[in-house]
Amino acid sequence: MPDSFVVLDVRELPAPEPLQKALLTLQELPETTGLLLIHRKLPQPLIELVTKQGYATEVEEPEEGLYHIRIWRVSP
Amino acid sequence: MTTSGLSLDQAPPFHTVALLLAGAPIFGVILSLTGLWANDELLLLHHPKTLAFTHLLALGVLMFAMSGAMMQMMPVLSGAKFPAPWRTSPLITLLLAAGTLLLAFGLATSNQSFLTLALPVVGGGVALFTFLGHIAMRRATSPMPTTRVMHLALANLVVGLCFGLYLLASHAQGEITAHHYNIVTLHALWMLFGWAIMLLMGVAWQVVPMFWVTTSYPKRCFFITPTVFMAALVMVSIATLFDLPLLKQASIILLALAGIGFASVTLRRILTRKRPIIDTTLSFWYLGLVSLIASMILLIVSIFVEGEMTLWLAGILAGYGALAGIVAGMLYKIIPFLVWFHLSSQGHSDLPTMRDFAPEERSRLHFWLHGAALLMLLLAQMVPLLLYPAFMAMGIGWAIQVLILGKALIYYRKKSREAPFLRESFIA
Repeated sequence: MPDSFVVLDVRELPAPEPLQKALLTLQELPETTGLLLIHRKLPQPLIELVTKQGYATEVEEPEEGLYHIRIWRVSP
Repeated sequence: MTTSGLSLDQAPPFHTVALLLAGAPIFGVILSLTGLWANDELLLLHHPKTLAFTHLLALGVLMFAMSGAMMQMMPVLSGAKFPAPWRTSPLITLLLAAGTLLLAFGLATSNQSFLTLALPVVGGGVALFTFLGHIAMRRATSPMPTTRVMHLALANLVVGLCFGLYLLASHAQGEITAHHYNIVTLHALWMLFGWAIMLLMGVAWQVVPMFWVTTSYPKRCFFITPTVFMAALVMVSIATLFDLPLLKQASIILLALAGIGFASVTLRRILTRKRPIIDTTLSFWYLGLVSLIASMILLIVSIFVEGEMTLWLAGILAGYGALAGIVAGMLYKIIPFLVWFHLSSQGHSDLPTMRDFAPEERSRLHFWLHGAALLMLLLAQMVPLLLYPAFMAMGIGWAIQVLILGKALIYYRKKSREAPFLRESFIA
């Protein structure tokens, strides 16, 4: 897992903007930096998509209706 | 770690859903042309051409969109996969398209040969879809309110289909019995409330909070509204078959009130959303929900007033204003999203945004044409001359949607051939 994460809060965005913004941000990140996505729902499609594209994910639910999803690259 | 939620890994291949979804606006154009052809004969509720128009709307526009939406949503939401969608979806599309055209032509021209042909084709298409939908729900790994109510809507579709096939057989044989109009009432009520509005409700529970960041629906809605619909549909059936007019009137009022309840709760969620941005899809929802409430009020009024006009207006508001409008609006969200998502999943990163696939200014034009067509149709009972411009506006609106979504689908087809390394590996 990388040391640093860029934070992206998409709680106020309507679907599918969180998915689009997350993918766009991941494309622009250096390989050593991860993405911390803050979301009101569990973005299962995003998780499936990035997993297929060589990223690892870790999900936390600190409270009901709040998700922290860490995404980072594990393979080129 | 929570694992519940949407799973597009479960989604069917894109082309199987796209076939059905794209059929809806194409039938919208055919519907408008039929309106232009039939013109003022459509002002009569039971005219053969009105029947043809109604079935082009219900089977062509609505059934295509709704079956496509269900085939997409049920696996994604609940793991309820339709069996072999790459084979069954084209077959359903073919049967529904051919059956709808045969039925509409047979009804419009009172041609018994076409009606006889339509019976197995359209019946087979709808029956196959409901059967596969039932199998899919039996496979569901995580049923949720939306998919449960979809399953219920499918069961109601079977009831409505049985009434419909009875009526179709009567028309085909030229034997109209004394019970004919009672069965017509039941066919219409089960299809409108049991199938279409029930399904719309299930879809709304899922997409309204998701697309417009509204509060979730109260959990009691997931139980109360479907229960009231089902109780009222059973009561109205008993009352109609056993000739109990007071119970029949009370049941229809209950159905209408449940419809108003659903529309009001949805409107409240949309009006109190956090981000006050209005896109075309939301405009279709606004107009659709207001039309649904107006339609339900007119349905209640029609019980107490003589003549067919109130019921005709209620039908236009519910069928065209609410259901067809919301379907049109949702297609502007669903197809661009699926195009974008499936291409992204194939590894494409140089994609236009979803808004580029359905430019707001063009889809907005469709919305205004839809609204103008609805208004002119409602006024046409007093000014029949308005029918012609109404159907022109309707046809141009649907044609705009065919062009916008067709362009997105052509882009998908072209682009998906450029990424063989990931093609269909994610979604199929």
